[in-house]
Amino acid sequence: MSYVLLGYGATLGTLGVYALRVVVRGRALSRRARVTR
Amino acid sequence: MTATRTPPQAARGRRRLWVAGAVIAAALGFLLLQGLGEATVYFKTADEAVAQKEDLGDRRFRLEGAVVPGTVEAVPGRVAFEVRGTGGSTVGVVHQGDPPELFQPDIPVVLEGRWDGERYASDRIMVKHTSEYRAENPDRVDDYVGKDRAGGQ
Amino acid sequence: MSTPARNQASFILGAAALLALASTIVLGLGLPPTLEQGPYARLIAIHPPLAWAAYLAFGVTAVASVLYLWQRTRSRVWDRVAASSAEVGVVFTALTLVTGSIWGRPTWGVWWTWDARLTSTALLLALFLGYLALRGVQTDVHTRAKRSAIAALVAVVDVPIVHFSVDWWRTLHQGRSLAQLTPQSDLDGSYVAVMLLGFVAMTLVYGWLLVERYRVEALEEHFDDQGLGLALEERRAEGEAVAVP
Repeated sequence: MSYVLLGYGATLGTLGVYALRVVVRGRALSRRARVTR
Repeated sequence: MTATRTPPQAARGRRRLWVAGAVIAAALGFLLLQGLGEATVYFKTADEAVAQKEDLGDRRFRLEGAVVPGTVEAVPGRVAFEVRGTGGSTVGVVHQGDPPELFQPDIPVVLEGRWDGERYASDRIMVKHTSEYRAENPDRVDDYVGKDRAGGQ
Repeated sequence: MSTPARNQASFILGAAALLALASTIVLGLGLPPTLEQGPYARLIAIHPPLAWAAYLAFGVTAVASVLYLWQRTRSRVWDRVAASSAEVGVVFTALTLVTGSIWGRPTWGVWWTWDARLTSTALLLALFLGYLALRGVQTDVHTRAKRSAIAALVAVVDVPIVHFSVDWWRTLHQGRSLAQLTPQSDLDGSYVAVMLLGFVAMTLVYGWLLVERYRVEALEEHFDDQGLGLALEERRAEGEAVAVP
């Protein structure tokens, strides 16, 4: 069972971290775009 | 833009391109050699292993067959059993090490090892699974061995 | 660059993806143990859907690459779509390998073996990591776009090889799970339902990640272009002062 949790955890964790990175970068860039415009 | 600025930049760009290309080529080469070369004939069936015994000598190869019920004798660190191919040939196996968790009679396995006299000396047991997902149900213990086994040729 | 309507669409897509993913995880963990694999079969609710999302991502990269290479449809939009989708696809491919490995350890008895399915999937990851590395090489926008589009079309050839490897060669890996989704198959009903939900969830997650990643790509290019313009102006100003021949 711990293998199952490991698999689900790795999936959720990786997708979560990646999504967060993309969203944070997107926010920062659009803020910069608003400021420079 | 004047030409004075581009050469060092272009050279760096070209160098990075070569590095990227070399890394990709090395990765591809390694994977192709390591993998697809032996992966195309990933295992020999028990029938083939018996038929080609002479040719195989003591070369390492993977052997596939279903574990014959009633032949499994396990002591800590060692297990002996027979595997049977779909054509009916059986091979006696001696495995050094403990079998994996889901190892049991009647399931197809892939072994790594070589012929050692009349027996096959294995050092790795891999349990081959089908893409069947039947809920555990004591009323329905069908024989699921034999389906989805040999894959391609 | 980011209109309210687009933000709202992305928000709705993201919420749907999150809901579907959460349901898949809850229902997936609640699946009954199976006859053959015991509790480990539960990983099947996410592993094939992850692989599907990777196929989809690289398929989109390939289509966008063709649209860029074709003169009549050429647009930087397609280059950005190709780049964004490839990066998301790499994440899904890596997760396919990781979840497969975690499943393989207790069920096969090994974390890894060089059979055709596993090898071709590792190759797929290497190919698209190479694609992303190629995109990192500094050059002008058009050269990079054209070069990466051609690379993507070479790399995507491995997708059908991965998919059909289990039919074409002998593998330790089981046959195609999608091929099993037929009424007469031996799949437990709950497995069919949760696996289908998993496919929907990973498709939505992919779609949302693509939209968000595209936004980043577009903004980065916007600033790169601006930076280039600024650099050119500086050069011109310098040129006037120093008078380079």
